[in-house]
Amino acid sequence: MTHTEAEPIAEQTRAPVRWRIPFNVALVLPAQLVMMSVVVVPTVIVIWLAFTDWQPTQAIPWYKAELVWFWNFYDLWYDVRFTNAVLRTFVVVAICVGVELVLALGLALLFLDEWPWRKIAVSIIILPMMIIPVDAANAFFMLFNEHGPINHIVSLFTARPFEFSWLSDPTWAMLPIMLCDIWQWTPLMFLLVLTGLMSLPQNQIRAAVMLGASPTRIFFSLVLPLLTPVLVIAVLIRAIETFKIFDAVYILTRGQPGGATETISMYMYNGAFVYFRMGYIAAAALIVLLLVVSTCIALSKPIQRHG
Amino acid sequence: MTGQAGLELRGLRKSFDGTRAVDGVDLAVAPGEFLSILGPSGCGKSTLLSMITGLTTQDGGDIIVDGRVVNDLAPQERRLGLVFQDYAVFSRLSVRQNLAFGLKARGMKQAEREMRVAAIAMQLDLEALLPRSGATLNMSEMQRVAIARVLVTEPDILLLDEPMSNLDASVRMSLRTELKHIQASLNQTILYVTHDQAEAMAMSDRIAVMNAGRILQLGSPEDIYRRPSSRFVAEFIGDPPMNLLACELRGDRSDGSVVTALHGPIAVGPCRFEGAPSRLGIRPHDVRLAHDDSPQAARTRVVYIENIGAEHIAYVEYGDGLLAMATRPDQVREGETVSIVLDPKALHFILADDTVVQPGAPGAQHG
Amino acid sequence: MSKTNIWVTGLKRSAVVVAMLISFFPIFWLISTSFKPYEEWASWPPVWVSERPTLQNFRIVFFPEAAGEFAAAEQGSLDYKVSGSAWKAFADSTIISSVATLLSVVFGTLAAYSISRFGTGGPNYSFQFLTVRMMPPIAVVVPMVALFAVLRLSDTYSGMILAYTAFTLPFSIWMIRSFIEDIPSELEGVAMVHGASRLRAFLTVTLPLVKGGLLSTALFIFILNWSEFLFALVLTSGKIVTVTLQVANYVSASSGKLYGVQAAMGTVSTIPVILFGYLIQRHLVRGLTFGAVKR
Repeated sequence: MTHTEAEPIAEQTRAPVRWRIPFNVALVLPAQLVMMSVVVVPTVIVIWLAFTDWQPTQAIPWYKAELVWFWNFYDLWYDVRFTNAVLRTFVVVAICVGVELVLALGLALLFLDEWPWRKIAVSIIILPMMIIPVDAANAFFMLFNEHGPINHIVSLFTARPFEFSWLSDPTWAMLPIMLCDIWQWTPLMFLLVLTGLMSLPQNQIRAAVMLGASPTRIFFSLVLPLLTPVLVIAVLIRAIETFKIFDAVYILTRGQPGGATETISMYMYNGAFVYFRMGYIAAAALIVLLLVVSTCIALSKPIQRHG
Repeated sequence: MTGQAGLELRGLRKSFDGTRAVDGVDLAVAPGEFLSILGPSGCGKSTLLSMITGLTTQDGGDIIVDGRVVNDLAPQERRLGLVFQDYAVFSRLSVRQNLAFGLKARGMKQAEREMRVAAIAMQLDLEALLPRSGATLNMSEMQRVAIARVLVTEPDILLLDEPMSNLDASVRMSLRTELKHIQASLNQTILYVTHDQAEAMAMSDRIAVMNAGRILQLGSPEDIYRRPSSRFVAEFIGDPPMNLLACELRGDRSDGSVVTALHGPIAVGPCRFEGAPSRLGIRPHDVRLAHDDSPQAARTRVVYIENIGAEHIAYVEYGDGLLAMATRPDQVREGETVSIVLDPKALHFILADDTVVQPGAPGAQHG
Repeated sequence: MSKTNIWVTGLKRSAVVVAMLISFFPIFWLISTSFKPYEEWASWPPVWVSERPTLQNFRIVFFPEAAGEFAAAEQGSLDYKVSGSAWKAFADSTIISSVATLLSVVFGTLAAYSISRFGTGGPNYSFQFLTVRMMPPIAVVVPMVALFAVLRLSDTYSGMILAYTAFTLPFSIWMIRSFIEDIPSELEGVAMVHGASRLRAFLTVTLPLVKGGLLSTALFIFILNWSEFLFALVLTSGKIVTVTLQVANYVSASSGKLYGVQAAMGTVSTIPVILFGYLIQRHLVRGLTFGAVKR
């Protein structure tokens, strides 16, 4: 036996155990971790808070807040202001998205042919999309001021000066808010519809022409069905975004007068940061979450069929 | 009058960016006739079709359908039926809705629409497909729907734009039969645009061969094949293509004879053309094997053989090049020396100006 | 061309002009107001284009000393609060938006690459990131306030950056994923056949090809961060101010909103958004539909 023949048995038994993360999982980890910390953890907290009556003004940390179990949900059920906010938001979404869709369709149809200043026209028309929403809201605040240009224009048609205070009127205050949303986001719908229109199968249109179809018939029987997938995406995305509407409401009315323009987001903001009833609002958040999820599930089948 | 209308084109012209896509086309299609416009890609046939339908406006010239000038009529008003190359079946409508589309567009009442749709579906074997969505059909199904969709509106003329290019060989046969049947049963005037000469030859009453925006020759398949009037037509028609041999004209014009690398002099009779022919054309099917001691036979070696199934094409040494000859399978072997004759009744003179004359044929004229 | 055709075309072009006017009008009003002196902000009849244009509003935005003079001078009883000069707002917004954009794009690219080329997490994995955009942010913000309080992230750069990164990840993952999927994976396969590792193949072959898409995504997310309002409102309490919050600071006890100054601030802070927006115009549709619709 010589030295060189000695087996390094000791080294073999000392092999360390390694815990391997597959490469592809490691790649998604950073994104996943960020999502978990800012989404998953707060969701867990919300579920906890929903069953408490945490009010930060009482100087109790949230994890020690008083449990009220299902009373929050009970109160929410009878909370007219909450129900109104929910209904109001759905109505706003329906009106805004509907108007945006029709306007976008009409506008896109004007852009089917080529003319010298077409590019410039598109650039100007999509300008509203690129304004910071808060500043757009401020602009509309100024426009609808009692001494603003809107009233000035109306005055040109009426006998007496029209100094209506839009944002203080419970019936009409919602209008500037909706107009702000419509003004800012119709260009997006317009771009989407235009993209869809430009990629229509040309030969199908020509075939329809050869078969004797009038432009109206071609539009309703052929173009609209062909556009449906794009329209579904557009409506879906805008509906989700409009549902969350906050900036314009905050800047224009804060939900006033008297809650007449309170959308869901505004209601929850007021409840949490003006009245400081965060436990209660957490319960409201859960209900809204449930509403959103069930709407998505309910709509997913029809969307799959058409999209 | 539905289906049975004539088409007349007078001096039709169209240019794109200075290029003349269609350069003065005159054409007359008789009612009930099956006429093919045959030409290679880029010859202008699609542009021509597009102008006939009205989807493209011509720079000049007239289009007359059933005796009426339709130049100023919109495509919807011309009562023509077009089957597109990609069929353009309405993908978001059902087959039934596809078929009914043209009828609905013309304001037909539902009861009559349903009747007609059912009739055409039965005629073209589409009944099983009626509830299916346009997007789920395969190529041959789409093509039948495209044809049915047009036929149900009883167009004056049925126009087809290369309808077979997307189909398998097996399906093409059935479509050919179908189209001839439609022509016969409905007395439908059919204008068929294609680059496939076999299709055109098989189906057409007459063929218009087109190249570089012009119609080079108009005639029956027989005419085009046996009596091509230009070099382009001679080379384009016939598969395998015509052999072009160097040749020399001998003797005087009233009773000439022609000599090639291996053959001749072959008597060709009166030569009513100017100048000397640049080439002698003969189709592979007109080159025959002969006994070694036959008159006019020449001996040459078979270089190689193409096996195309029902027949073989033997390439034999001929002068500086090769001559293609059609033979029965295994009639000759590679390397073998054979005796061949050229059929003197099937010769073509290709002249310096690229016109083609057939010698000796009664009434043979300048192309 | 028939006569009716000319009429129709004329009508169509006029409609386009009307649309352009409507699109531009509120922006015009904002710009115009930013040059108006105090008296013209809410006078009747309203002043459409100022007769005495002034740079005073811009001075107030950029030079806090001008603000003091403004209060003391002719305006008399006008007193207002400006917590911090606009420069701080621009700085804060730049820091938060840039870092959050960087993180979002880097994490998003890694994740998009993994999902696209490896199918990590199964076919529905990326939808998880979409759910974040479906709920009203306000619902998440309430517990976030609690969480940040515990983690001492309230009113800090890190807190804001974390929040912004998380809420733009859906966009970055879906957008970048659609760009990566535009590049056939066979290209990487070719590189690997020549001996490169998977990662190297991606870095040397695919990445350069999606560079443009990555840049567009980055600008798009920067725009989202820069324009964000709700989180800035709720997750800060004065130490950090973004450009969107700063506008709301220009109020006075006696006059309410200081239109001219707000307009000036709004106009200036929107300029980067307009700039970047036009740069990525081609990809706007792709971004705003999470990669579902491409030109």
